[in-house]
Amino acid sequence: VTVDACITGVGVISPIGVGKAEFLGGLREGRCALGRLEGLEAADFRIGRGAEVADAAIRRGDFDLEESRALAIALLACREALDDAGLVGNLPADTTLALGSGAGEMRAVPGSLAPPEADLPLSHPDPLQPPNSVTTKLALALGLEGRQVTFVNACAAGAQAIAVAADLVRGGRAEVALAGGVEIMSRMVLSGFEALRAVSPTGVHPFDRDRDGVQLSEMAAFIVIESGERAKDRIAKPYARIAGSGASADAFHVVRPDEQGTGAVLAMKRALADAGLSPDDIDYINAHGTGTPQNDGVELAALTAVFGARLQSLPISSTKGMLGHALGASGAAEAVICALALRERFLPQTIGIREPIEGYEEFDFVPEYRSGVELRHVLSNAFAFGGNNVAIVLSAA
Amino acid sequence: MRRAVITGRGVLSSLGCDWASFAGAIRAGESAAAAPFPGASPESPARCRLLSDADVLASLTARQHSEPLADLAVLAVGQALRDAGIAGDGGSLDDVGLVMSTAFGPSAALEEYLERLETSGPRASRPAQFVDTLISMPASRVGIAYRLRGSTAVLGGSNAVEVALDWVRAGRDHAIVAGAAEYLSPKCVRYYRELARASGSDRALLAQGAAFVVVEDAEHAEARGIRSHAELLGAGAASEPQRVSVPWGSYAEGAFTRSMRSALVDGGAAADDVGLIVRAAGDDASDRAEAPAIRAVFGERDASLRLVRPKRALGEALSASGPLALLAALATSEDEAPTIAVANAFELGGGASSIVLRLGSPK
Repeated sequence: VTVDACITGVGVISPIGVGKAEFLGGLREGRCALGRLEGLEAADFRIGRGAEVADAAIRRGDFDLEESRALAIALLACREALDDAGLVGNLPADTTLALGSGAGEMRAVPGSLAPPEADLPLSHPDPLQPPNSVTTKLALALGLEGRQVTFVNACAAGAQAIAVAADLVRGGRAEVALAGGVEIMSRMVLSGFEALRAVSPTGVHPFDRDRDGVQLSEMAAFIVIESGERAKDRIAKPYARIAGSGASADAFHVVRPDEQGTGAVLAMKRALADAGLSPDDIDYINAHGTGTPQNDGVELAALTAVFGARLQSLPISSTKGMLGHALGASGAAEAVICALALRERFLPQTIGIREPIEGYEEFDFVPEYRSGVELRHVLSNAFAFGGNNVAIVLSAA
Repeated sequence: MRRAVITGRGVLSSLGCDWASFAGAIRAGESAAAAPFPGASPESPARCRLLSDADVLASLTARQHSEPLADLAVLAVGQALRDAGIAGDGGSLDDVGLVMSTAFGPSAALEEYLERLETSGPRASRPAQFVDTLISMPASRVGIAYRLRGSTAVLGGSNAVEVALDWVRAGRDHAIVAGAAEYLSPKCVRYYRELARASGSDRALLAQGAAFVVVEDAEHAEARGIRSHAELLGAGAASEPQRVSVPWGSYAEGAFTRSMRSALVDGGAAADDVGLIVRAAGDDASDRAEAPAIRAVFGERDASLRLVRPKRALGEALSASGPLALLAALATSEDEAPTIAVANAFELGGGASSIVLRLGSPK
């Protein structure tokens, strides 16, 4: 069995806009959400910058945002995606739920694991909150009784949740899936990135000659995936099809990417083969593009290995200059951006780039928002710490 | 769709840290010795079946040793690859993937990192220590140890073998090592002890360990002349979301029923073909959900089915319990007549999953 996996609804809670309409507006304007952190207590950090979702926009009374922030924003994004797909009230109970998150409720966990033994909050009903407990609580809130699957591979988790959910639909093993990612800002993760000297004090400058690091952010992004047959009976036109995906590992180093980009090349080639496409069919690349000295050069080398000389005329952009890097949610948000770009016929811009990386001066990094662009097939990359790579191909519906 | 077989097995568990001792203990119906929780008084009635660090460390060279969860996974995956006759020459394996699951991840590293963050502040954080806290890092270390560059996924839950099966059937990879590992930090162990106390004394005894299988394309295995231990026919999953404070797997009768039924449909097997069921239940509460589900799916045959309950012997190894159930099915049927088995698993929060497999090497 191979059926089309169609995107019929999207939902996104981001620092540049809460909800699809505001998010699209933010992408059009090239809105930058990065700055000094205010919601997270970060005065004792060396840099303490990033992008947050304002509490006021997500406080709807359901949750304690200190304990259940990931759940709160994921649930809002899920509900928007279901509403957008016209499935509120008629969502099949056996819908598959696939979540990607690097750290789950990491704001709540220090309260459980940091105190000395004698001060542990032992009577807490759910003290440890691993990422799959967010999946379960989402399922409970949405009344879902289908397959639950949780991916935890850091920056590739959200993309992988979408890729695997699409596989289940394409293989005829699920008719409807709700898939995406969530990540929240936490002192623990931010302190780790600062310790690694991976955080830029100035913003995110993807593919820039003087790029100096990433800034973290928080986000939730979900899509509804339905079989082509089912979608055709219900709605006029899906956003896009998920045509294929590929995953790989660098198997190289715990922090450094493989300088040749071998793992990234494998993931992209696998995604193209899975979609039955050649590199010449791709019209736009939504890059991982973190703006770190390590990632961007390696990603361009890997893209060159896959696309050859054609890469120079192919639009490549990274949206992390606007959104920051929301780790496990990023790949899902970027799949949402690609779906929107296919339907609304635009290219999202790379903000923050000043002078392109040496050797790539003539490349098209989409420095301005571009509208009226007819896209057939697009590629989205998500590469995780430790060398886990996922590439997704989305096609016009 | 391509066929998938199991060609490799690797295990570190409270019933043995290699295949022969694990399989022997399962067949002999042995139970792992239960001990008081670390730090609890010897008179405390609460018991657990934790692997001793000495068991694990004894198998590691100094170079391999990194973080305990990664150590467990690296060792178990190494056993599975050797059993499958894969690798060993240090070259990269572009067509061998890895799907690893872990619910709590490297909790010992996380605990240590958070304690330091709390007492010394963010500027005192150590980069190497942070890297070890990432939930996917043990899987990265496995990939690096054996140069696995095939399709890779890291899950926080129980569906690792299902994802691997789908990928092999779709022709994505020749082989995928799939399984799970759990190693709990002292404070995680302390919370489990409290959870067990609060939710009734019969909650399964906490265990830790790692269990992996090599899921291989059947034609590829045949072409290599490698014996397969079983054929993986299908997988299914469902859920009945619930709070984690109730014994896991209880109140999930519907989820077990639907996961077994969908796995049988996916595997093209009839309920009448099944001879063996490896149950997920580890305590009376989860028994009360799974037993009626088996009756619902297998009807009158319920009484004549052979049932195995490895969790009673092994303990609650969280996400590793699913792959351990699969290995228990292989151990139970080794050298016996071929039969079709269903291996069930559940995860905290109400997820259930089932794998259908044909046991016995096809003659």
